[in-house]
Amino acid sequence: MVSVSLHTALSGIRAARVGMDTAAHNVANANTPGFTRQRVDLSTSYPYLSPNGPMGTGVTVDDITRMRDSFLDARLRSDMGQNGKLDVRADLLARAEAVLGEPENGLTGELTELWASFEELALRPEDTATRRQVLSALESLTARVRSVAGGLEILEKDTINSLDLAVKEVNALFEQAADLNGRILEARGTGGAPNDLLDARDRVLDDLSRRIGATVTLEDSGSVRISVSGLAVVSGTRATPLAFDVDTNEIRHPAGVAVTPGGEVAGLQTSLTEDLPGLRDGLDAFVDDLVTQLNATHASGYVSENVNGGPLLGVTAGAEALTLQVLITDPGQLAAAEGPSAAPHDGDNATKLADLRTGTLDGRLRSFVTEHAANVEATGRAARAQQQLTAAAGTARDGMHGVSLDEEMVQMLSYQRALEASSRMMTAVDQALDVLINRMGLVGR
Amino acid sequence: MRITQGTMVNSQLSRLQNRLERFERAQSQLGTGKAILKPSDDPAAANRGLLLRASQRARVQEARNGADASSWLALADSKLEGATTRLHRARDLTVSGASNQDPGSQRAMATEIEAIRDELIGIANSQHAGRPLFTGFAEGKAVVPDGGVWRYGGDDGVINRRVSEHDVVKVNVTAADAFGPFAVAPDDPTDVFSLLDTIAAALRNGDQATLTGKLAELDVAMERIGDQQSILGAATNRVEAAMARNADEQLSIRSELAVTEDVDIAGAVMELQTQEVAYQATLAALSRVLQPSLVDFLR
Repeated sequence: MVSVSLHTALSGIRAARVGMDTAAHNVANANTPGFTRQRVDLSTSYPYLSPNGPMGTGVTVDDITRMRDSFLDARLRSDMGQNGKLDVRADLLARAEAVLGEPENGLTGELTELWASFEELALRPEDTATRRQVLSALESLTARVRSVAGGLEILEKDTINSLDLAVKEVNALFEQAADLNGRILEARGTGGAPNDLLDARDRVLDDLSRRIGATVTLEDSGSVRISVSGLAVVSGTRATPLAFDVDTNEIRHPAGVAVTPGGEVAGLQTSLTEDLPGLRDGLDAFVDDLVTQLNATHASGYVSENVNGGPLLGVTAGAEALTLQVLITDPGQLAAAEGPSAAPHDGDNATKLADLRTGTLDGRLRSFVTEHAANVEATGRAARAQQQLTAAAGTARDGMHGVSLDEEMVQMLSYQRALEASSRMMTAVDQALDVLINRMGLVGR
Repeated sequence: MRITQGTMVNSQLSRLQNRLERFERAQSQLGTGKAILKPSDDPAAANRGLLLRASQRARVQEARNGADASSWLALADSKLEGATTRLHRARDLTVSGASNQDPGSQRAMATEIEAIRDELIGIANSQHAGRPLFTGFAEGKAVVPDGGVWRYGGDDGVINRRVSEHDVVKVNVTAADAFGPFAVAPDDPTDVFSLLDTIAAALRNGDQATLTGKLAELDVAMERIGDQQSILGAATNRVEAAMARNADEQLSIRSELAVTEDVDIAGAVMELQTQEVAYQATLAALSRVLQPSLVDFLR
């Protein structure tokens, strides 16, 4: 009978030690990223059926489990996917805005200067210095257009590289997840709870949600199945890499289907297929219009008697903005005169060139700039709103999963007291046994 | 909701980041004096700003056009004024020539009339900033001798100056308008120079009938110049009115641009102060988050 209490006290000491160890582990990992606080699951041991009825035999440590809430995980991950997408897109749009350089260093200022130089030419058509001024205004406008177009092209190439890299990184993460799946299954087989492996896998899953908006399904076996737009990319220990097709800007599954990603990859892809080409096309269309209108008006004027003005600007179709250049280098070739006699002081065609200002060109450039600005603003605002949501979801999850030092201190204290009490229990039983063994039956000795 | 040390630190950190962002924005607004640093800060205002800038540049150019127009008009007017004065003198000479019968003084008068003719030719050929004043678009002399008659050397080019968005003013008169009409055929000269030639010849010949007859033609010639001067005067009035409006418009565009793009200094200083205080408060809160835990109270 006495030995039962001894064992009961021992189980208490053991449980308290496990409890203290776990608290120590939690405190030690309080700042480890992705760590989930752990808890000791205790239950009463199987009772001893004494003649007086079932009698408790102490405590058993069932398991050490992670305090993980899969609902909070799912919520945060879907927010992270959205957040990654909007952040990347807002960032790229803002970079494109910086390339445009409005309002101080943009195209609108250069265009205004060009109109003013045409008006100056109308004032003094015979003056070579004024003519050179027009050529330099043209040069400076075309140089600015080319530099903006070049900046957009660089941005596009950067985005392609980033997307390629992001897909490679995502593929590496698939491999890691598949590998962790395998190790978790193995550990489960040997009966342990692979908490650290589960934490590591959750970190990978978080990363995947942010990167590509992957959907995660937990299977009964304990492994996770990861899919992107409904196509499985990790199943058990098998990872299926995705491929980025540079020609079509598509992300392809080996099954031959283009997937619709989420997360940062989606942000990069949207920028690459919609935002940047939209800007490029808008700029090209404006340049095309500018060239057509300027050349037509210039050609209606006269350089010398009965000789019309030649083309002022030239472009290569398909890449108008990148190839825009001034075709006239001789200031004498500017057709300032409107009359066929090309009288030396006739500046009426220069006036007509300057009057293009009141036409569609200015408004077109301005709406090109402001439409993009509105896009940047709207996307930026959506990104900020999504950041708030994600931060809130993150806080909720961190609150549930994270280590509270106060709580661990309380745990430590209570297990410490339990250990002390169990030890005292053991001492009491020991004293009782001492009386039984050493002091009994010694009457009269 | 369960709160841990980690939660508090993280959310305080993100708050600190937000505060710092706003603090920085308030600082850069005050530093640059601009409320809109890039179009996406306020697309509608940026659009307005671009419009106003283009309009401002156009008004500046119109002011230059107007200054150019004014100097053209003023010079042409003063030249024509000189021509009128000289023609009055020619008329006086003609009148006294018609009543004076002394051949010596008539010759002297003829010489003076010829001098006046040359002076008028000089006036017709005068230039503005290296450019002929009365030839339209053409280069060269406005009046050229051609086989005993005078011809107009210019063309009928109309020099226009845009002085406001929709106001285009003609700033030149041609020698043909002021001193013509020049003869189409050599036998029928009607211009003022030929008229003076005729008067000089009549003086030398003592042909008093012709002198009396030409007096009316001199009056017509002076009237012509007067007409052109009044055209110039009307144009000057239009230019001056446009320049006065231009100055007003530039001022109002500038103030509108300031309202659209510039920062309200008093507001920005307040904002900066507020953000600074908020930033410091967040820092203070962060320092308190990091301090206490149960550990401090356990022995």
